[in-house]
Amino acid sequence: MFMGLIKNEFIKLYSKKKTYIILFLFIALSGVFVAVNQVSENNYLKYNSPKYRVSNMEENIKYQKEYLNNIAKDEALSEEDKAKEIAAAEEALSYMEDELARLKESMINEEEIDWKKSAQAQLDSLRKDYETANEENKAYMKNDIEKIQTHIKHNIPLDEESLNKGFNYLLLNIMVVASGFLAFGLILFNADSVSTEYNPGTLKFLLIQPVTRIKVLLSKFIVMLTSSLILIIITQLVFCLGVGLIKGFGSLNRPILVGHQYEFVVEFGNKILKEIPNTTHYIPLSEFLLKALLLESIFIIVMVSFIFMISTISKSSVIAMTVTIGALLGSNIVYMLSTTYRRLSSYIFLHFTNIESIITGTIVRETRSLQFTYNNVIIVSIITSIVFLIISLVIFKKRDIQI
Amino acid sequence: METVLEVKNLKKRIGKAEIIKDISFTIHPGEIFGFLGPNGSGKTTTIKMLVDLISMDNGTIKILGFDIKKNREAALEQIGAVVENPELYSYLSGYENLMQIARIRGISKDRIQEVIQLVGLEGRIKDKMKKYSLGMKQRLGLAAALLSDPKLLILDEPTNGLDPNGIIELRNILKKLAKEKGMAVFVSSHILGEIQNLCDTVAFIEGGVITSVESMAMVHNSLYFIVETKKEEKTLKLLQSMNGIVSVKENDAGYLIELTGEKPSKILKEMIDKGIEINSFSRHLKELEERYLEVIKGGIR
Repeated sequence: MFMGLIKNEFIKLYSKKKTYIILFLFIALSGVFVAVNQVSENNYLKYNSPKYRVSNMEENIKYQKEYLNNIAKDEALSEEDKAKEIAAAEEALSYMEDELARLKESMINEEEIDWKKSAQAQLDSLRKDYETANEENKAYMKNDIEKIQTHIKHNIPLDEESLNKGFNYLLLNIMVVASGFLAFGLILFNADSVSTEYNPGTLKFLLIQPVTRIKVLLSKFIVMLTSSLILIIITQLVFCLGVGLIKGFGSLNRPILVGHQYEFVVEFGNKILKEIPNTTHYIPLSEFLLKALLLESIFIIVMVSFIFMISTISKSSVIAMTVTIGALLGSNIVYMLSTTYRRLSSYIFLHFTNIESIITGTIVRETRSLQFTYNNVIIVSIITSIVFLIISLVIFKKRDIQI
Repeated sequence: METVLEVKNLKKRIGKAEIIKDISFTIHPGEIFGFLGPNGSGKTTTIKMLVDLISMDNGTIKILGFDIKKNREAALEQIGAVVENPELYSYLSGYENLMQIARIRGISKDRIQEVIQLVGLEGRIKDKMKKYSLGMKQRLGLAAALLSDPKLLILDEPTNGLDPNGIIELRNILKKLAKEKGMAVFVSSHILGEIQNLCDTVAFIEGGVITSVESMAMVHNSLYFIVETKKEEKTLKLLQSMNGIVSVKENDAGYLIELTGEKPSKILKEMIDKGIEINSFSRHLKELEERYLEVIKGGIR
């Protein structure tokens, strides 16, 4: 019987036009992200191509020459100052011309440039500098050295993160969707799930069948949640596959720096947040993506539970929608305005959308809440979801259906 | 006798208002039970308690011995109901709406076809329900309620939106099911004709109280007779003077007389013997409307 209820809910959901409209909007949004990622790749390649850099350098040299002329003509300057300025400008100019010559040379050998060679050169120079660097810089340099080593080891070009590759796209989609669109999309998709049965009063028809109210409500919850999860994640994976097949997937071993940890220290009578040195480490993109997908899924679960609760309590879809959107916008406004609220935000699921900062640990810098960690976000989300679900079930079980 | 539905001391308070004030009644297999009362008298509230859409404050409701509170699912298993309007999913086809119930109750597709034919929706069953007329929605609602072949059928204003043909068909379906399958039917209505033609028993409800439960046979067993004759002073006096006649009233056709219980044939013979020219003599079936006005203090609003 319970499977019958679940099948019923699936059929109802996929008989509604609304379901397809929202799915289409999400697919369109994912398409926009492909375009955005491609444009930024194009820009990156353009500004980093030897040709662009040559013409850019030529332009700079032109300006520098004009500047020299202007100084020579300037009567406001004393002769002594003038001589100094001209000497400095000429030195800069000769450096630019050297650089231009080097760029032109590399343009001729463009195809022969091996990123590994230049990466190795970078690595060598970093190692040399490392010996003489102070403690604070050493920590950063150590990270850089490890990063370049990993890139060389797994044969991943250093600039791969700037390219529109399948896995890079997936990461971008998850980050941007979670932080900007997911909550609204889930509201549009789910806010009327229970309340729509009040008007017209189809709920009566459902509740006079010989099944418990708990089962009726749970079947709705399960269908809403699985549909939300599956439609979102499948769309993201399909787009990742599409971009990957056309542009290449990129390496899953690309190292990403995580594990930022902070502490409060008192300096000059002020309590300030400081990063604890030597806490960061690299994880491969594969692990980062899995964590991002997990956080996205967990956010979907807690958000759907919340929307579901509001939809169960309110008997009108309009009210359900208004309340959930109000909660979302209101909490974000308060988040921006109040530092106290930001510190508490590690306990409020509505703010678990900055997936990248949560995984890297930098969310602490933004919120000044040391409790805002990856693990806590998961624990708080699960507890909140269970509480919301229990509230929904208790209210629904006891309610008089007065339609 | 076996009872299908037993309601005892039912009370319900919504806010400060006491909507249902201690009502009790029973329905037996094959009985068509009319629930008659003005708007706001508590008909729908009672029905909602029968199917546990709203809780009761006091009393018990048992369906074939299953208490709706303690044994909710077993009790609902026996019931088919349409509460208020037949509101099903407008974006699904009529057939899919029935499938929704079939999946929950484990009903076969053959049974669905059977019920579709019974209510006469064969032609339009694949259409989306939003394209249905109110009458077709009523038929679909009835099909949904009948799908599980319930022991107790509860209908709330079932003739709303039905055309005259539909009303007659509905009446025939219900009478047939009651007779052949022993299905008990609970019909609420404020339309008197509907109840009069359909029900075996009528409960009058007003202000949350059942003021009277009557067998329709009793309502029909009237001692009033209509004498069609020319209205004359002489005739009136003759009638008034006769033994066995309690009262005489003028009406359109002639006179309405109330007998004490003497055999009508005897009275008729006496009248003829006395020289009253009688064009017709017939039992005046006391209309439910009159009884309604007698029982319901508020009357028809």
